Amino acid sequence: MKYMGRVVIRMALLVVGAVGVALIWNAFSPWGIPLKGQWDERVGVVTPTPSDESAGRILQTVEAAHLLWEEGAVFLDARYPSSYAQSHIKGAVSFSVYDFDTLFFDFMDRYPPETPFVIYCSGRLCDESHRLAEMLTQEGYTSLRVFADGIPAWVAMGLPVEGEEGE
Amino acid sequence: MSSDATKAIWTRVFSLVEMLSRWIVGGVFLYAGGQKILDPDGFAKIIYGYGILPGGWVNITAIVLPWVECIAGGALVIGVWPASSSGVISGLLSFFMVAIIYNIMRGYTFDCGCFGGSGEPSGWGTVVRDIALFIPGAMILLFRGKRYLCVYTGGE
Repeated sequence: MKYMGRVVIRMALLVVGAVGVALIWNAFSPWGIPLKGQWDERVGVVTPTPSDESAGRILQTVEAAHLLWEEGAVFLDARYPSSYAQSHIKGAVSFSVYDFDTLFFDFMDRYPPETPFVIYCSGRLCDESHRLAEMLTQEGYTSLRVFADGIPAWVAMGLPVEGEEGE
Repeated sequence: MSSDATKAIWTRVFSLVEMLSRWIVGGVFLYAGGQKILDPDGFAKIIYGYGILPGGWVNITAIVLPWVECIAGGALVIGVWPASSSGVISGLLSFFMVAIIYNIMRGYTFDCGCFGGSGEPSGWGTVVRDIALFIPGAMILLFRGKRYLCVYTGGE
């Protein structure tokens, strides 16, 4: 019994030690994340690393995205080109975040920095739209919004799509 | 052969099995923890995907859990506090099994995240692997014979 008691105490010490190392590592590591993430779907896109500046550009509702669509904002599909080919928001342009380097020069020629964009991917669990918005921000684009609910919500509302899968 | 000699052979066999178990289980956890330490962001999303922990606990778990795996795994490999390390690992494995079985029961097949964001879906295969690690883990915990190649010879 005495032996098992010592085992239990050492187990606790191992866990406490690991917690300490983990917190110190996380504070100094380039991969560190905040101690609290944004995991509430009602608030917006779920992410371990919420930032105030990116929160402002998120469109929380399909209606808000639809309004911008009617106003003629350019919709960017940040997913793989194959996903775009299957189905995308009507009129959207494919700009896969995975091909950013090859696509960007043509993109830059076609769209001036103040062009209004709405970027989307496949919902609140994907991050392609956020990564693309971040990359375009760094290239000097100023009017970027991220449509948080993405294409599934758009389809669910019966709004127009196009692609191989049909209307 | 006398029964004493047979007994001596078996004692050595058990000690060898215990040592190999420590290396294998420890190595697996060292590797699994290391993968997650390098990508806490991805691991946090996987924990969220399990749909078990409340939002406030997701990030902190993604930060701490890989280090528990790594430290307990590393301690097993070098033989420091082997029983305690395998106790921690067996506890983690039980917790993983409950989480995975719970999700299978309600029809979730999310990326298991066992070795970081591998894209490997969780399923019964994952549970079987957990059991395959749990058995040697429990053996190391309960073993009271001579442990070979341990930095800390006390056992506990």
